[in-house]
Amino acid sequence: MSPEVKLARLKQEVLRGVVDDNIETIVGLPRGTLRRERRRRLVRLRRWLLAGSGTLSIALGAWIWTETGLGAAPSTPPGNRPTVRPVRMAGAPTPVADEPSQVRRLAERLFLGRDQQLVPEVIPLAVRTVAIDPGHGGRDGGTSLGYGLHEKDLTLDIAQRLEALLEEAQVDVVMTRTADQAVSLRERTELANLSHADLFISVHVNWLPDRTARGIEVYFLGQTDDPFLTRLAAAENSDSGYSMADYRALLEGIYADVRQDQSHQLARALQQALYETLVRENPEVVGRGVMTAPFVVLIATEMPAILAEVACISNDREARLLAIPRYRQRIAEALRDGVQRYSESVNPALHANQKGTHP
Amino acid sequence: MSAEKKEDIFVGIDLGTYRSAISTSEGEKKTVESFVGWPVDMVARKVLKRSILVGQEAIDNRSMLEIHRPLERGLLKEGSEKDQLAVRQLIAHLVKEANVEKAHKNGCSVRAVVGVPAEALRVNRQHLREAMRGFVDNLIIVSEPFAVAYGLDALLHAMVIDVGAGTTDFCVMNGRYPTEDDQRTLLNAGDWVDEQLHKLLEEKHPGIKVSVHTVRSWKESWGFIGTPKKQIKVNVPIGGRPTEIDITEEVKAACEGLVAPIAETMQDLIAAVESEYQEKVRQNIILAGGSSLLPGFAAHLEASLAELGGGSVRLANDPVWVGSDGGLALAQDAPKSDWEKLPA
Repeated sequence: MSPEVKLARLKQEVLRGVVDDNIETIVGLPRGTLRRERRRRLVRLRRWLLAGSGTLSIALGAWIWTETGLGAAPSTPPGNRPTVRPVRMAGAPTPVADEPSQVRRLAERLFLGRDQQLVPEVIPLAVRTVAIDPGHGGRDGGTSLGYGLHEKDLTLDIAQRLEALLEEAQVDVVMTRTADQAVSLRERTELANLSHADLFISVHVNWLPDRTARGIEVYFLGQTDDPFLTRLAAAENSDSGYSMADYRALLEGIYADVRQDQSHQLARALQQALYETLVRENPEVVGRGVMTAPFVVLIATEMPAILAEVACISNDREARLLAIPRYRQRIAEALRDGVQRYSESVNPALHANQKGTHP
Repeated sequence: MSAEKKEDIFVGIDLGTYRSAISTSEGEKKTVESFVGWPVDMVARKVLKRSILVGQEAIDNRSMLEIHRPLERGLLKEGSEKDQLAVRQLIAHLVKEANVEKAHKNGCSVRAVVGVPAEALRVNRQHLREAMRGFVDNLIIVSEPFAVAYGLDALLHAMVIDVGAGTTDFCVMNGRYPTEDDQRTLLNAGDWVDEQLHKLLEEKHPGIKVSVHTVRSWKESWGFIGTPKKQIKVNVPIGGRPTEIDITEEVKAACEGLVAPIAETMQDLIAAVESEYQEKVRQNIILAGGSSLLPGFAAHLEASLAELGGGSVRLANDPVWVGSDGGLALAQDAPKSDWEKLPA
């Protein structure tokens, strides 16, 4: 890790403390309450990772295998497509045995709703900067259909359309790549983190062994016991630029609290918007749902983050649609709408105040 | 998503006991002495032609004013309406001088990080929030030595000693926001030196008539720790007669009185650091604040580390601005979603 990145991470950690300290002042909590609460959550997360990390280990193992060159990373995920299950966190943390202390209950009552989201009135949230990550690039073409339709080109095109739409809506955009260039996953996430982006959206196009399958999938960070998703994560995590030590540090640094819940909320908003928009152009499109998987870009980012598989290039009909600029524009519009829905959901009060001035 | 982008102005404010400073993202930097004065009567008001004076003007006209120092001894005074008004007047003056008030009125959003003495942060934070209302849109309050550490990127294995007028604040940085255990406050600071010097002069020269402001100016002009470069001679009225006196020994004694308590506290805090990191902290001690400018101060503190294995004490490049610059850096780095929105 470069000294600049190390310093930037240190600053972010310190800033978290500053914010906690100020929140305690605002609501009159004893100093240190929130920091102690954050530490408790981290301990619980570590327990959770230790207890339920078997499937994650498989993903990591596969990732190391490809990373070290012992095997070639599949450009398209092999294996049979599993049944899509309803959204859930595989191996979700079980409640810690000890009773929450009075202080923690007080903090939770003040800041966290029952679903552990920040109470918007306490800290006004707004989406001001979005990091858009067009998947793949350069020598990593991603999936392709063999007649000139490459995932890396499609994701860049959709990302640039989304960039224009968000900028029209007065949102700052950070692009992890703007041309057909190789950018490691590490560089992508570092750029997003250093830019203090409020959201991270990684745009991908899917390839499914069942050529009749089609549809949209949106992922947020979590474990999976699905072997297909494990292999998919291993494939997407290749060329990450992270060492195993970094990877461990990343896992230790994950907060399974607000960011996790917000990523889920963002994934849901984008999945709904994509389905509702695209079904008009592509009536047979399938909303394959919101799922969890340990993609590096979702682990290493420090803001609510999702990875969207916006279409299946392996399906002839969807491949033909992807070749049409208007369809790609619809995908970008749907992603924009999803961001807006998410923004409204995390801070309805703010949006109520701005009513009438929205794009 | 907002339909209209508003320009943000970022501001770092160091509310000091003797002097306050402001740095803005527009490149403005101003200081003002933390004194606020109201004319004592109608005559004074007529002479001064103003209902309130702030900063050096207030000091210069103190005989006609009811003078308030909002942060005397490192605490925001909250006793009377005037005390509370004095804080707001001081802040108003700072933001006006730095052209922040004008930009705010023109619709710019002002995001301010305010650094205050550690004691004020502990005791007066709610009061300070109230005092900032109307001047800024978003606010973060931090302790002054932490703002200094942040501005200097001294976040890991470092100690900042902010020697101000009312307090000396210590802060050990361990790569996280400092807890109360990582911070200390002493009342041995610039004002304490002034009081000591005043007392020593009165003891040596009974009947001497000199104000604490004059004593402070002597200290600022000739204060030192160690060996004097020349004898310090001043003219003062004693028993009604102008008399030249040599104050070298008194200045030396008063200034050197700072070293022992600060060195002891510094050593205590180092001893509380995890043993494997103590050496790193000893080698990374930074002095800031107006009173750290006393010649020989850093060298004497460094010498006091010899018995612990040695260390390095350096003076921040710009001890007067380093706090407000640190606040500004923090303001610019803080994610927008993390700011407290202050009601107007």
